[in-house]
Amino acid sequence: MSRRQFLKQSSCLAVGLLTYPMYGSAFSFNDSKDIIVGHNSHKYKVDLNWGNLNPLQTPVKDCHEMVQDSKGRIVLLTNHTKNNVIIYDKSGKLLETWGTEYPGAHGLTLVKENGTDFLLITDYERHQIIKTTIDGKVVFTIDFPSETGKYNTKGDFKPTETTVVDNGDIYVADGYGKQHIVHYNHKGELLNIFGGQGDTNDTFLNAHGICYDNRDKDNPSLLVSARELNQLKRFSLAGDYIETINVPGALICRPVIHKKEIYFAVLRSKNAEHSESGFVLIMNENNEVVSCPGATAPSYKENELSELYQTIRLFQHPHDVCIDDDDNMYVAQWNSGQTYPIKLTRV
Amino acid sequence: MKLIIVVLILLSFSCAKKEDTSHYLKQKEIALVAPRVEANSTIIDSMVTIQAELRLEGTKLYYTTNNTEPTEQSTLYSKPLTTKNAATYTFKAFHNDWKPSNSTTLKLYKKGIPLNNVLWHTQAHNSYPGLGETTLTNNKKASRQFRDSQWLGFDSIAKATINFEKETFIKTLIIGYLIDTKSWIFPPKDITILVNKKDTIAVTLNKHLEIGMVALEDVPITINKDVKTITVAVNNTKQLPEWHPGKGLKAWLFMDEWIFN
Repeated sequence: MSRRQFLKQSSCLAVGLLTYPMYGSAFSFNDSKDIIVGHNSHKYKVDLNWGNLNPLQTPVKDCHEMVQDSKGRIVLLTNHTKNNVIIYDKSGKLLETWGTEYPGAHGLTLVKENGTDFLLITDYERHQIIKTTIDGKVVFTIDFPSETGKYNTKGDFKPTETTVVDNGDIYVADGYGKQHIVHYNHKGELLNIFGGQGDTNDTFLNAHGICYDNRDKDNPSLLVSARELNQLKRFSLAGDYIETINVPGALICRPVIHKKEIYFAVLRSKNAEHSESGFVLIMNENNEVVSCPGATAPSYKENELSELYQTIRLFQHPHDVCIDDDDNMYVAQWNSGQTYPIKLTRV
Repeated sequence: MKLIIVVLILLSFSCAKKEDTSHYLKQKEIALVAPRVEANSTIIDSMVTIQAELRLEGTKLYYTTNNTEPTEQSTLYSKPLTTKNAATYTFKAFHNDWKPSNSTTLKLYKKGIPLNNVLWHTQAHNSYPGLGETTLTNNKKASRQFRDSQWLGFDSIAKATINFEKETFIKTLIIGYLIDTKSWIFPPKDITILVNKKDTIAVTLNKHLEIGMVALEDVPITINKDVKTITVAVNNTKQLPEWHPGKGLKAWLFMDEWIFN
């Protein structure tokens, strides 16, 4: 506790003791305190009511991914085709919705081009990547990469995520398909393909998410989650394997870089006896896990991370996190009973 | 002085109001996860060690051994337990900030009579062959993961005859099975036992099931006879219930140990 927090709490306590009899019959303290989740540098209060909407008017199915746009708005992607995209302000107020043609809406990436926001949506049921304007007009689509010879049919390609690097090149993770990473230029023209299914260094089991890591400006790279392997893998932009970071017990979804940290929704705890066993995971700039809201405190023994697992039944199946410009976090969930995202407010 | 009192009242009101209007999650609104409980063996040969944990600071685990739900008045778990006796251990987690967890139950079985002559009349499905024909009699219980190699998976009847070297008094037969409804694994529908080729014992199970249920269960069957040969036939659930996505289709039957005492 900081000195400021301590003083604030102490003064409230002292004043409360002095004055309690005078208003106690009219006003009552709620003696239940706000819960704090997370560890070390990254702790949060939990707002379960953030973004709740009338499900008859603005329904969600799975809440797959979220991003914050240049206006500070929170953009949610769901596979409900009444409104695939739901845009909120940071308080959770509904601003607008659009999108009715994305039944397999899964991955959502914000692309900034000369001061204009665009979105990349991966749709594993349409087997496509769709680039749209921020208000939903389609710019182009990318179909399955038949010219690579790795795919027999359109149906083999089930993309789950995209990321965009400085020159506009797009990398696509085929996380529900054949586990390749497919590299395109900014116009959607094929440049390279790597990865594939397997448990070797340069292959994946469920290459669910990908992100561009340019925290080290001299050595930009790609981070790919191999969810079933409980691993995060780093590759060069040319597709060469660099390293693996193990996160035992955590089925990590896409990596999300915010400032120096990497944030992950964890879909499930590997060895949990119930499926709804997800949590949130945060790594520092040295790729060390520093906080796991909803799960065991991270601990290392001889540089090996101990198995992480859910300890409180706060989350069901977290699928993505979005960290806003106030360092607060929004958690979108898959298969959680059609619930809206949960907001975690940094303390 | 009056001014000071007014200021104090206003300050106090502001503190209280913040508490009242906070929309954040409060204490005791969310439950703990059930403790993780493990034993080095659940079939007792000599000594068994039981370990329980829920790695969340401030959590206390309590347990019972009499088939009752633990409370904070039950025995506090502070270190691994050792025992030589068959019993049912039930653990539950408690914490000041969170609702108590569901309980986790660990059943320890007395080791059964060794079985050397088991003749299988049906075979496990190719996908779930376990460790072969000795899977049900190797004194090793399976985990809740249906891919555990200690499970034998059947999609119809499981039938075997056990011949004892000499006539042996059998008090009970315990048949262990798995429930994992999402994976289409249901309890046996019924069990028919033929003792010494003449006496029949029939058991019908009517287990209450819920969506998403995963559990290790057993059915103890009273024999109370001198046995030279015994044939056990376990039938799978032939039709999944209305509430299941696979309604009308057959269920899997997953078994681990058959323990004769």
